[in-house]
Amino acid sequence: MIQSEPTTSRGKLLQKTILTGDGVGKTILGFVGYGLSLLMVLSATLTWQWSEAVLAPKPSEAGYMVISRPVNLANSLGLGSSSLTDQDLKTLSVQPFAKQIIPFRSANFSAFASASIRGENLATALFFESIPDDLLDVLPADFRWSEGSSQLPILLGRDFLNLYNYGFATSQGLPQLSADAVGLISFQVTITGPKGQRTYTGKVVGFSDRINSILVPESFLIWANAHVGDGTKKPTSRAMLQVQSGDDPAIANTITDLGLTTNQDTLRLSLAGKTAQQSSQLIGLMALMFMALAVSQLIMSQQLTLAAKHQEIRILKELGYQAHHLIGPLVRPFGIRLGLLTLVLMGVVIWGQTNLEDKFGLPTVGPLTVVMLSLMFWLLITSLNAYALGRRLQYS
Amino acid sequence: MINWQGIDVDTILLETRQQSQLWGKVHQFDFRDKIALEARSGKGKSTAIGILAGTRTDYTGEILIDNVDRRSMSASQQSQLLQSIFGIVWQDLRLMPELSGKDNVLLKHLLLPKMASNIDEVETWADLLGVGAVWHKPAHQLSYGERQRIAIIRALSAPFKMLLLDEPFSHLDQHNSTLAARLIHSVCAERGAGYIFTTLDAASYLDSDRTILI
Repeated sequence: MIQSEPTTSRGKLLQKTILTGDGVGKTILGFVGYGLSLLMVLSATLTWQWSEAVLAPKPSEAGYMVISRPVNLANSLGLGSSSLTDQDLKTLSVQPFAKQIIPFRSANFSAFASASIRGENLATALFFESIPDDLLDVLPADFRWSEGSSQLPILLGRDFLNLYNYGFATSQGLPQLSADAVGLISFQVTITGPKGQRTYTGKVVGFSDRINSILVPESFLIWANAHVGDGTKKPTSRAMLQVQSGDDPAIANTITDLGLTTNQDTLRLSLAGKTAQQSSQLIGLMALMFMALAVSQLIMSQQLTLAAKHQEIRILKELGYQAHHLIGPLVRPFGIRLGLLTLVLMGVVIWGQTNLEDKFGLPTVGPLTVVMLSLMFWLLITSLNAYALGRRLQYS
Repeated sequence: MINWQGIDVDTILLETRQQSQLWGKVHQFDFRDKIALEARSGKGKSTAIGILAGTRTDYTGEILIDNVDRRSMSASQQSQLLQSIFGIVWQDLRLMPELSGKDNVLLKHLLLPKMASNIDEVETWADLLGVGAVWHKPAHQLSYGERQRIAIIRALSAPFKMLLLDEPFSHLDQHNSTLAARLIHSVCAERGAGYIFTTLDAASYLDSDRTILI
């Protein structure tokens, strides 16, 4: 029965009347252009998201960097100093990006550690540094020292553990040690200065990712410098700079201008990340312009189809049809095709995204943005087309 | 009710208009009336139908349909008029060439399917007028006579209060004209509707209450 579903049949009849003939090739071309530009926009968005995720510093590392002066031949020959001057510190501290700059305190006495592991006697000369507790990334409960204590807690740069485990231990037939195992080993620490010699039981209480040094509690170094060392202040060799935001390009510029260097990769990383972001923005922008062209081609081809059928449209109006009767059936096939194409390409991008994230260990950014963007484009272009067709129907 | 108040068009010769009973004159038509507009070619028969249907607006004077000025009708009012007041058979037929006869009829029928005739009944009309056999052929493959019968069926398939028929039998032989006229009479009688038709001569297949010489 034809009457059972009159709307469908009427819509199909209207499509049969108007959506035939010319413009098919042009429509296909428009769809291809739209598809390509959608792929580009989505890929650029992903690249942007990835670099954004890479750039975002780990919360504990947000805005900390260790500043020092690079060592050159002149320093080695004793013709210059690689220490930070008060002027350097002052210049850095007044920069708008700087929150605070705290010099490392270093020991003005010599230190020596010895231990026995599996009957083997190990001994090494040491150095100590300290900074205020609030600049540490880890603060174990027992990283504390008070006058008279014979226990000396030590915070080691994690690189030391790695050096030992992957370099020293494997080549020398020594056992590899986990971070926890290192904490169980106690060793003897002897410090010697003009005012005498003292011995402590040393213990590694934690590992720092932020500071690549051998750190002792600040209270110990202040006391030992005064009571074992010669009491003079050594020139500052390193300082901890805390900044407002790690991706401010002014940081790298100022540090370079002062002839200083930083141990952190974050600045270089932030430059690379910034470059990736800028290029993904540029590509995204170009893809959007390309998409605008493709979409205007699509909409024009629809308009052309309508223009070619102006006779039929006039007859429809003389039969009593109004624009609102026609828009639905005329827009629907376009919307469905565009939706299917968008859906397929969205699936392809999300599939590729998951694969790339797995394969290259990229940060997982999730499909939400890609899905929202795709839906937005589909809705926007379909409504734009409906609007353009509606206008043409109204005035033809 | 149609009030025809001194409608005049300057595309027709002044001399013709001065002799006409229609141009520049006042008439009142009830939707149930059966009106013949009779004239030779070039006197403005199709123009009159176009003015009533709303496709021609280049006239002076005023035409009121159910007391609404034809000119001041909104697009929606105009569409309603064409959907359910007037059923029109144009002289140039105005079928969709790519659609079959049946689809052409359905295109009109499905606009207001609940108020229109049953489609099964419409199909019997096609048999009655002898176009049942070509019902599924595209219109551009049909003869003018067949197309004209399709156009008549299309007009009858939708609701109307008055038919506007512009030389509706111009491509039909005597036999087919008689059949078509009989169908139009019966459907109009059934619905209590009237018609305005144009004709070249007084001898017409359609009944008329009034003849206006253009």
